[in-house]
Amino acid sequence: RIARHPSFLADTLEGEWSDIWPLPNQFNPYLVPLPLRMGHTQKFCVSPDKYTSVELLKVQNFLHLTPPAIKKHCAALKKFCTPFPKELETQQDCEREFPVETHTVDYVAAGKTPRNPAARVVTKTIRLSNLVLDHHARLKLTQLAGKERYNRSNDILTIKVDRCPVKKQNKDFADYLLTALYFESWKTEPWESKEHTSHSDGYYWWEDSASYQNVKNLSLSWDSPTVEKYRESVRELKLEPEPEKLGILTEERKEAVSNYKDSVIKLLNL
Amino acid sequence: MIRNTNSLRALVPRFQHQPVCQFHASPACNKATAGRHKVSKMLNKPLTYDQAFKPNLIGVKKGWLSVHTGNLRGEQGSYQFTYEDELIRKFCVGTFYRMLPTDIVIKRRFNVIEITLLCNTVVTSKVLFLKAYSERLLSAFLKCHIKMHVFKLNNEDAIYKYI
Repeated sequence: RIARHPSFLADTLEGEWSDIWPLPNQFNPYLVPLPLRMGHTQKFCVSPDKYTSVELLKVQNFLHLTPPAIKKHCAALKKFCTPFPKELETQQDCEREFPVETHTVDYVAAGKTPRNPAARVVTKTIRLSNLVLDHHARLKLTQLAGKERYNRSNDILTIKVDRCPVKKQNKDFADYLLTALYFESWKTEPWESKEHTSHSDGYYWWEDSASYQNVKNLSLSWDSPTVEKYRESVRELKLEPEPEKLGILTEERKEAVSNYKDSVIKLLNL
Repeated sequence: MIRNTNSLRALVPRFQHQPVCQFHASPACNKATAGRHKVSKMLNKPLTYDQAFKPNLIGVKKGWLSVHTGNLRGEQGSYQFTYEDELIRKFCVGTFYRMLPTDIVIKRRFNVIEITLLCNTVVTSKVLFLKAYSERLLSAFLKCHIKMHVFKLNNEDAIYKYI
């Protein structure tokens, strides 16, 4: 069978293989100079050779990715490459230089259209310590973003946008959201002023809390140290970061709880 | 003349009877016959390699005749690929009439459909015309690029065994 195209085979054997097969292509028995056979052999049967085998046509081949071809590709691409910057050795350096991380997914599939509706989703994350924020702005930003977007344990703000039809629009919208959040958090509206949060802790609105109402009912003087201590202990208890595992009391939590207990006992004169 | 004038049913044609869904009490016959070939009396029925292996051996001893990503997890449009494959197969069998000793291999790479035919006549200008013609028509039907590869394969070379 190899005697079918002797002159042609001689050509293929002489030349560079990556010139003959530069791209992914369907298997061609007349181009591949290998005595291939593919298929299972039943009793008294011979597995078909490359000219008669449909199996060889079915499988995907990687004849364009021979090691010399890959080397050639790499050599051709090398002039476009630059060394990785030395300043960005660690993860912290990368984060300092590029605080906003963008996460998108591209999909590759067979089909008439290369577009995939799932590819439009854009997720941007930023650690809040990379932003210039004061006490009030930080509090306001976290409150505006909400619990589901701001992770208190690692200080990361995540914005996921999928409302626009195109990825670029979603990216722009996420940028806009981040910018708007930042500048909005720096503003101080009249309703945020001291009158509304009389003893403003910055974190916890004392006057809106149920504890404040309870103290009100006790008809105590507001300037007394017991009320002040009670307020402090409530604030501490509320600001206690959520435990990683539920049902486990950390030392700080224990202390906060005992402080709270003491203050309540003093408040009620028990 | 209608003999039985009393019976109204005799006057009504058969096709006007209302279809009635009936209860089947017979056991289900789960006999699988697709892709399985009967042994002939004289043991002279030729089979190709594809036909020689039963469908349960796809992916073990023989490969798939159409390759695409539609059946992967989370992917969409597998029904459409199947439908298009059937269209392509019928079209090719009709266009290359009595020229195809084996089945057609259809591969999809991005938005290109690659069709591989094994043709039992010498690849002449006639076959090349049919190739270009079917490429043009199929790409108009399916609205994507069609690449067709035609190789020569004699009828007797396609035979793997006789049963």
